[in-house]
Amino acid sequence: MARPRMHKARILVVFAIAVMVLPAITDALAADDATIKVGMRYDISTLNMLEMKLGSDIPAILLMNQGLIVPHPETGERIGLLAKTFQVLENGKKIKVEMYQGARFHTGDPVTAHDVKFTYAECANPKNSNMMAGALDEIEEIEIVDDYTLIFHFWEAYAPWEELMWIGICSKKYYEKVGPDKFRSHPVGSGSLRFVERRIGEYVLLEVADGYPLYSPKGYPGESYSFKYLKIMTIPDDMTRLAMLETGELDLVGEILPHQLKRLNGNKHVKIKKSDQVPSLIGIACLPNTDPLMMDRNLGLAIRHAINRQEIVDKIFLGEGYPLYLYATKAELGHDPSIAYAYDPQRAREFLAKSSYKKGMPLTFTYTSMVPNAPLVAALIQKYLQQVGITVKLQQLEEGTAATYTRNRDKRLGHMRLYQWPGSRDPNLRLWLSVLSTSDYATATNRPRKAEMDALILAQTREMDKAKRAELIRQIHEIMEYDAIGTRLFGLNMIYGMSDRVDYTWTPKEPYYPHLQRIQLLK
Amino acid sequence: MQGYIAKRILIAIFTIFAVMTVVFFVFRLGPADPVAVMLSPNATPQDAENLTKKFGLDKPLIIQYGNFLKNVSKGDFGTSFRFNEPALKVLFERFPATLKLGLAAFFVSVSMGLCLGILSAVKPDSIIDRLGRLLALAGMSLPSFWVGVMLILFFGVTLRWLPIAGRGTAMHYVMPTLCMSLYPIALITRLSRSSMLDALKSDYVTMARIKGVPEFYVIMLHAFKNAAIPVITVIFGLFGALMVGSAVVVEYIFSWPGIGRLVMESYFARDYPVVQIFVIFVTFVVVSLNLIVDIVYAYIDPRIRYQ
Repeated sequence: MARPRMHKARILVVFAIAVMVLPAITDALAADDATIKVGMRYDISTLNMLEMKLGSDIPAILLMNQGLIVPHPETGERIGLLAKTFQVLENGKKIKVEMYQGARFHTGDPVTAHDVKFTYAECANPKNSNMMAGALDEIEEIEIVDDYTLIFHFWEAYAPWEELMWIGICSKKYYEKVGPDKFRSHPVGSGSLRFVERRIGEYVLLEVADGYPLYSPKGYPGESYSFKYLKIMTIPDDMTRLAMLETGELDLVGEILPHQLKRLNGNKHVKIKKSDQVPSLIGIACLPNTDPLMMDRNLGLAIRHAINRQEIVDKIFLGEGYPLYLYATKAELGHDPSIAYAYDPQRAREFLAKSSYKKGMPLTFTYTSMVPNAPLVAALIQKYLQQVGITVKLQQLEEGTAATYTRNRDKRLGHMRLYQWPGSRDPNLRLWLSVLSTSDYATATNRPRKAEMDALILAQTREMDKAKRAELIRQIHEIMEYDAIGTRLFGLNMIYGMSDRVDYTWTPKEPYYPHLQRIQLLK
Repeated sequence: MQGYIAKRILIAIFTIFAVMTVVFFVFRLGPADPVAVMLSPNATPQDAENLTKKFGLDKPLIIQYGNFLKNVSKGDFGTSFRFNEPALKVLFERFPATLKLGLAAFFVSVSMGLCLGILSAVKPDSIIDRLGRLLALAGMSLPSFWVGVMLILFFGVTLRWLPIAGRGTAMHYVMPTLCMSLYPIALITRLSRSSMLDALKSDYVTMARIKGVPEFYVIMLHAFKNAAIPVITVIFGLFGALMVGSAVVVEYIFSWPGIGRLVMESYFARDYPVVQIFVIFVTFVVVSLNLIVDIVYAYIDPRIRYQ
């Protein structure tokens, strides 16, 4: 009888040791003092600035490659980084840039105006399929005055020129020496971190480049590093990413959804921060090309007043957002917080009665997983619209299919579509792409004041006076609000979590993990 | 036998070619356009045009197919739209991770499944048999994404015994391997148990026992050898299934940088060349395994090759 008991006791001892020892081993594996680990949903498609395709590529590229300007990490305002001064000449047709002397690539070569010209030319080159190529068409040529001075010549005055100046500068000399393949696999920049290793689908490892940047631009708080390596890890599954944050296997995770907060708040090793100043814009696009009925202003007004935006924010996003009325994010030029519409179902019914909508006619409302909690948002919108007498049929599409339908203005997209705009600080590109009637992506190509709207969009692009430009943008919003083709719903707070061994604060107005080099290691 | 093998190889080549053609057209005839998927919302129509030309998608479909076949004959399976590198290189960079995980899961599945199946059959209604049946039921009915999440929450977050995702140490293999092997263990356990039960009831096993052959030899040499044929088919097919089916879900949940996750991401990004090479590669693996099974069958059972 004694032997089975002994056996049981041994099993218990082994189990107890395992309970005590294994967590220590895994914690030791997770906590590597020299390395900060950041978890991202999407894989970085390239580290080559010249071939950059996606927003998810930006954070790693801008850690290695510095731009002429950079957002101030605390205020979000643009300040010079490689550029010392900017001079607007000929009413915006030319921008003269004087660069700091002393900036060097990780190869030791100086960063000069020749590198700037090379980088912009390659980014605009169609063979590189760079996401900035279209926007860079505004530049006619880049003139080199001397090694540290250059002039951007624009075809016409270009008010949002700052939106083109963040591009990370690459070394022309290095590119010519190693060729495109090695340049792609072993990128070299002048930033505060240098490339160490990349495993596609797994991680990108960057190392603090001691002594970089080699100068302190005016107004920039500078960098102080408390870590040696930064590892940007691709963890596609939301649940896995958060579990890794909880166990300390990751130090920083962004884009946390509100319903995930309850679990994280209970973990004393996880710190949560929030910002309502990160661009976010979610709305409903009405699609008149599917049915001209969607141009009916009274129907648009009925939809606008039927939706309880605050309730969507409170119920689905647990208050971690804010109602949005204008076609502009909070971080954007032209955003006017005083514009709001009341949630008024009675008024919505009155507008609907005046519209040409026939009772019982189903309007197809399309959504994709691009918008967080999209099925819940769509169901609530359906409920609101049905309460005022609009029949809504929901249609969920895969993102790729919806993107193709949108681009081709395919009728299968339905009458209305839920969209999310990743956001920026200047509305110019979005207005050109989604509002200008001649754009491939415009949803309303035949609005009543089309000519006036198109002229305003063009004028705000060319207006260099900020106050006058803001007034033109206000007029654009005024027309959009009057036409009521589509409506805006809400913006979401950026919720990001970090382990208790680090501290990090998101830069306002920046949508993509800005300034990761500023993560502070506390322990 | 040679004629039989030659016929099988010809069928295999035709199968691969047919799959290649179907895959090419199915992806391109689908509603989504890779350029629209790949471009950021900030991209201009000019960017879209540039990408379309770069990927050769501006040409008629039949010409694209002709170019595809011409390039394949030269060993060029195209350039990944996303990574801007040869699709074959992208696939083979990720393949070792899947192979390692697949082999680990294969080893665990086969060893556990066979042991449980044989023991269950030899001692029906014993505790082992009941446990085996319970495990088989659970393995068959629990979806791997749910099992994966539960493993992460229990062993990773609550107990903190195991690292949650990624790779690097032997500990990183434990959860994905368990998650990947659960279904195959169930399948092999059930199959080997039922085959063994039939074999153990047969006359030749009774005869072996009457002759006084030790029980271990009766089970392994007389019963199991004859019960193995259907199990072998499943085991070989299983390896392909592990590499294709389970890998997609398991690699996604555990952030395992293998080809399963690659193909899932590539599909959503409409990265045709990568998805195509994946399907061609998997077809090649499955067809090759089936070919081996056919040959092994013919070797084990002469009646097959004479048919």
